[in-house]
Amino acid sequence: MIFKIIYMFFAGYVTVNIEGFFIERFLNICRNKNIVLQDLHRENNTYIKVKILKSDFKEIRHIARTTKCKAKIEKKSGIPFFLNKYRKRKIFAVALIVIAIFIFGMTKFIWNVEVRGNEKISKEEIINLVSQYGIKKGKLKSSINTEKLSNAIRLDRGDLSWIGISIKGTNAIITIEEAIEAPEIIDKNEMCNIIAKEDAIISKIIVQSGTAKVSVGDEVKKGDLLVEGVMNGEHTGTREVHAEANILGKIVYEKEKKENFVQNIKVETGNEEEKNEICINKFKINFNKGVSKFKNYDTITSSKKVKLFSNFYLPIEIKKITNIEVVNEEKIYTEEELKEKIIKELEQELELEYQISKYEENNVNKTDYTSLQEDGIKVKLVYEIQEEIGEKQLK
Amino acid sequence: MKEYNKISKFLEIPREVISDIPKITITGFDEMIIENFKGILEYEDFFTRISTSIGNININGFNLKLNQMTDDDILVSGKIENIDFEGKQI
Repeated sequence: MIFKIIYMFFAGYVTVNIEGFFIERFLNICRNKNIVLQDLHRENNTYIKVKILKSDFKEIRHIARTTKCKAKIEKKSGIPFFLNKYRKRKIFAVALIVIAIFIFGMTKFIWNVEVRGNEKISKEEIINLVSQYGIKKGKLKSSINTEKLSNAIRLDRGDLSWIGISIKGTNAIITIEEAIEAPEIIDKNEMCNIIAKEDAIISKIIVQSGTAKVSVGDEVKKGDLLVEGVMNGEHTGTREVHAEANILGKIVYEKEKKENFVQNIKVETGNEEEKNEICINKFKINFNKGVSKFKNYDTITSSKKVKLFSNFYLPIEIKKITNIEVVNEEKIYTEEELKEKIIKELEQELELEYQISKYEENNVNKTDYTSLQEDGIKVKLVYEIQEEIGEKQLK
Repeated sequence: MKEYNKISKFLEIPREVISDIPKITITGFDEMIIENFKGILEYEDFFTRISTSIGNININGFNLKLNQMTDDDILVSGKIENIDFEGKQI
């Protein structure tokens, strides 16, 4: 039954009202001419309703004329009639198919490279690295052999202990595991010297084997020789040894800064304007006028990639530009406030320059010196760090 | 015809296949398939008369529909009340 319905639907059928007094005769002639009648039922004394295939309808007309019946179409259904109805919308159908093919085609390429698990190595570096091996935007997915590539990259880069490449949708997800560089361990039997690993002032030196070349209070530069792996004995003469020593050094970092009591600072007025921009690969479409209506403003730009479903990225980016209006205002600081502010700034700068936080907290000694000037104050921040500064080096 | 009958009986060929006698299948009280019919003599929604090579079949009921009609079988559905046969006088 279901097959018949599907067949009728594809071939197209018409529901016909047949009116007349000799309906039985009409039915018999239909039977003789091999016309299949479906769902025949009597609506009324004088007319019946029947479903006939589209191709048989011409003959039905003829039979109806000979039997003096009236055949009237009530409804046309099925695919041929549907297509005929929408024959003027060919372009629409074609465009629909083209878009479907286009999207399907786009999903065959990589449109986004994502990096996960990186801490020290920057994202750009990883993206550059994998692009050398062929994983980049617009690359065919099927041309990438992830297993082979990840092996090749791992062999090339010593600082990656593991790299995994997986392709999900149009995303290439690169997961890396950074290797912790093992310190070079020098065998006890090897001859070695001890050198300074940082600029410092020696505060304590205990030599177990070797000859000290510096004494307490000496200033040393990075890479200077501290203990030479040589022993002088009265009877044995000069011989080379594996140098061993504990050397504590005082490392000093300092920085000073002067600021005025009266300062211009930026204050946000709360007014902002938004601008949108669409980037298709490198082609940009602006929706707003280029010039901002504010006199002084800060700009924040955020961009978002367009994606289909959850992870099919398309090469289209939507950029949102927010301009925040700012006004310059004069602010008068008190001495305390200004000092606090400067110290905070100096701390940040020193942290950026020397990574103070890598040292043990107990060994770090922080002092600040303030001197008053005519229209401001000058603050000097000094970090003193007691640290093991010796490092073994092969001869 | 008699010889033919013997062979077909021996081979167990269904009778309706080799001759034009009708085969009537009734499922429940609401569906009836008549194979090898010749024509429709009368069709109303309460009374249907179908002719076959050996006589007529009269069907009484309500809301009778001829659901499917091809050149050799017909499906009558609806509430069938009674059926009777008018054998041809030979």
